[in-house]
Amino acid sequence: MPLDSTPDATLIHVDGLTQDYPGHRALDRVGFSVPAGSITALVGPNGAGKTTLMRCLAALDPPFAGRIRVDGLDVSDSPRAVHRITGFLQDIFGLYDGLSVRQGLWHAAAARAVPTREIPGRIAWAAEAVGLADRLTQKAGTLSRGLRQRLAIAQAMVHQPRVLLLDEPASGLDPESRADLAALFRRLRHDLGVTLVVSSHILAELEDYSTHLLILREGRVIRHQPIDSSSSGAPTTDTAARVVVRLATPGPDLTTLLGTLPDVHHVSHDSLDDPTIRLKLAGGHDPARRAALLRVLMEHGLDVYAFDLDRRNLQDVYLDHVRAETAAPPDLGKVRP
Amino acid sequence: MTTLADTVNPLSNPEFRRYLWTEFSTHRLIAMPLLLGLAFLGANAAAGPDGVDQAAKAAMFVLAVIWGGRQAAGAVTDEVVGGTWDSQRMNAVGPWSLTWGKLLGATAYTWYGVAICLLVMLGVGITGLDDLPSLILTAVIAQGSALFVGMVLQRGQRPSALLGTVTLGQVSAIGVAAILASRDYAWSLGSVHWWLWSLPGDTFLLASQGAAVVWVLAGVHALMRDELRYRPQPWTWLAFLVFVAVYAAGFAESGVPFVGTDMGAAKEVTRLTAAFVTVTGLTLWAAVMSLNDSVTLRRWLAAPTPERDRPISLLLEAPAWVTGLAMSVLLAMGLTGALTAVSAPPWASTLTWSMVLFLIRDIGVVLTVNLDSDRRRGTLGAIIYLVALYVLLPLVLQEAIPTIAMALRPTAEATITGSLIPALGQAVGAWALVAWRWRRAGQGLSAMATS
Repeated sequence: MPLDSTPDATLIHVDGLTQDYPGHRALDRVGFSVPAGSITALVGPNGAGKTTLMRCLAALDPPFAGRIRVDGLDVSDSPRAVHRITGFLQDIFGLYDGLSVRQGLWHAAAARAVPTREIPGRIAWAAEAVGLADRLTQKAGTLSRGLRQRLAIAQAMVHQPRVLLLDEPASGLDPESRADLAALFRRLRHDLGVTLVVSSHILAELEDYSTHLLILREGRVIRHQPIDSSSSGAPTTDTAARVVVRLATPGPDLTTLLGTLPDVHHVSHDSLDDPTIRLKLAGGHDPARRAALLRVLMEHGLDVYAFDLDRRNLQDVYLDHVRAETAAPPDLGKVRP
Repeated sequence: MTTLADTVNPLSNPEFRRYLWTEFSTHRLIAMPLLLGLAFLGANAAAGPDGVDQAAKAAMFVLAVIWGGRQAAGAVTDEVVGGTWDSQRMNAVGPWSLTWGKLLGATAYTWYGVAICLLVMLGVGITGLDDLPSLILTAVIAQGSALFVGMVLQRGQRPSALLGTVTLGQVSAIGVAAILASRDYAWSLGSVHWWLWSLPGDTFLLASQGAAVVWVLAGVHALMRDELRYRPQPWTWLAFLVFVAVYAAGFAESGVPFVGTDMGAAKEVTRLTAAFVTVTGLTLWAAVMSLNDSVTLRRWLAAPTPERDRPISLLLEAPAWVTGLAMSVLLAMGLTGALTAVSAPPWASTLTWSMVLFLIRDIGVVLTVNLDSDRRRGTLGAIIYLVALYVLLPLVLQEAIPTIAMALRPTAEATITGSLIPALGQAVGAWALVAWRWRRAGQGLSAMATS
């Protein structure tokens, strides 16, 4: 199934989604859009509403209010059509232990309306993709936890859905299998144009393959942004960039000094003894601008021993936002772009 | 693309085929005839052909009703416990395919044993070929009822509490089989008068069983539709209420003494009374068995608001007890009209409307007890409160207040002050409690929504 949408076309659009459980609002006016062919990392503290959101996206639970459109289909009006184009692996999943891997995949494919003559090929493809090709005759009940996880993933994607929702897909997998899983997600995205939404608490793992970050907290979206240039378009040389500078001999008044330099903003320096300074440089994605700044720093006699773009990982971004929200709750009805 | 061969081939139903894979093995294929054969040989040695026939019937009951009932009751609940049900709900398999795939698939192995029992019965020659349809239909109805009850009760339950749900489904299968057996005994002795017809008892039983199969399958199909997120619709339930009302009314005859009197009532009155009482009873049953969670009810009530903007959902998503109550009220109006046109006790209309008010009170009691509560405790609690209102309180207070029964439940010779006004007061009280529970259930939501 080739990608038939333009890379930036919206595949999932959520607007004003509200979902309640008795005495508890799990999702409160949630809104965001997911581009086709992207991999969105869905993160948030326990109880943030991640699983509820996934169940709504999978058209398993009708939302209390709001609209969800998946590939143009309204999940409230056409839940069965959404089911057909969606694969969903829940964090707590089950398998038919009495069936072999081949039988389980046959059942999953036939039940998801894969034409009978195509089923053997799909079984081979899905088993190969998750590394179970040599275990087709083994009963699911005899598989280890990690292998069961792989079989569940294979069953969720055997019908080659347009959207794949995965709740903690890597739990129970060893590091090698996790790396394989990341590679599989990238292949699904690039080769088949599948749009993935992946929830996990292991942020380093999400960083391996995600293109977008969606942070939920207390049922509301507090951040939704592209993670890198691969999905949002490469930053231009005019774009500001965060730069990290490390000094061999930290000195006083560094913040004041750096703040007076042209195009330098948001200088942060935790303490006088801290050798690390972070700042924002206008046009910092242009190497020439960074070289110019480095020259200026050297001219001011600063002992710079490290100087680079501040490459912050997903965990840093996540913790920044979650902590900021904890410290000062914003107007939670709004989603910051 | 689905071919014609796929459509007519039962093995192309993934659910049915899955069950065949899991239910049958070489060992099980051999074990069933071996064990049954031993039982029949023993029965033959003890009591001859009669013993074999009785043993085959007993084995069929155990296999089809007790074991088959358990299998059918667990067809969905076992999947919920095993974590596979949500995946099934997202499958492309339609509600009808899933209904028969589960009903016949989950019980396939028990039917293998039943087939052996039937062959033995025919071989012995005491049970005739014409007896078999009724036996088979009884088994299908019992298993279908178990699947229906299992599906209704699993809603809103924690997976850890579902074992009791399966047991209740199994018990309902046994109960349904017992009811059908009692009808078989009662009707096979003579003819049955129903509406304008007088039919041989066994023919009427077979026709009733056929109708029961249709309605059991329709009920499971409606639940499957709901589970698979098809558009909600009240039509199956409404059609069932109409059918049951017509079915019950068909037994009413003219000249039958009206409730608690020697007065022979007109045929229209007895028929409407039978229909009204049946629909009212089913409405109360629906209220007790429904998953009454405040979120579903709020979502339903929000249908015409700008937030949802789906006014038609007010009808399509109405809880079963709402449509049942509406139909009870319509029948009460019809009955009142019929009572005024014929010679009837003066209190008959008062009794009719007190019954409507008691139904409203009972629904209020049920909602007060099980709104958002633990499903099992809520349902059991509601049943206990209703038993207290209908049986225990009248018994305990009878000596102190001789007219207490009239004030607590529908009773002959009902009066406005002794029955209608107390029923109204209790209905208002019960719904005041519902309003209190409703406000409590919404407290968490309001707090967050306005923050």
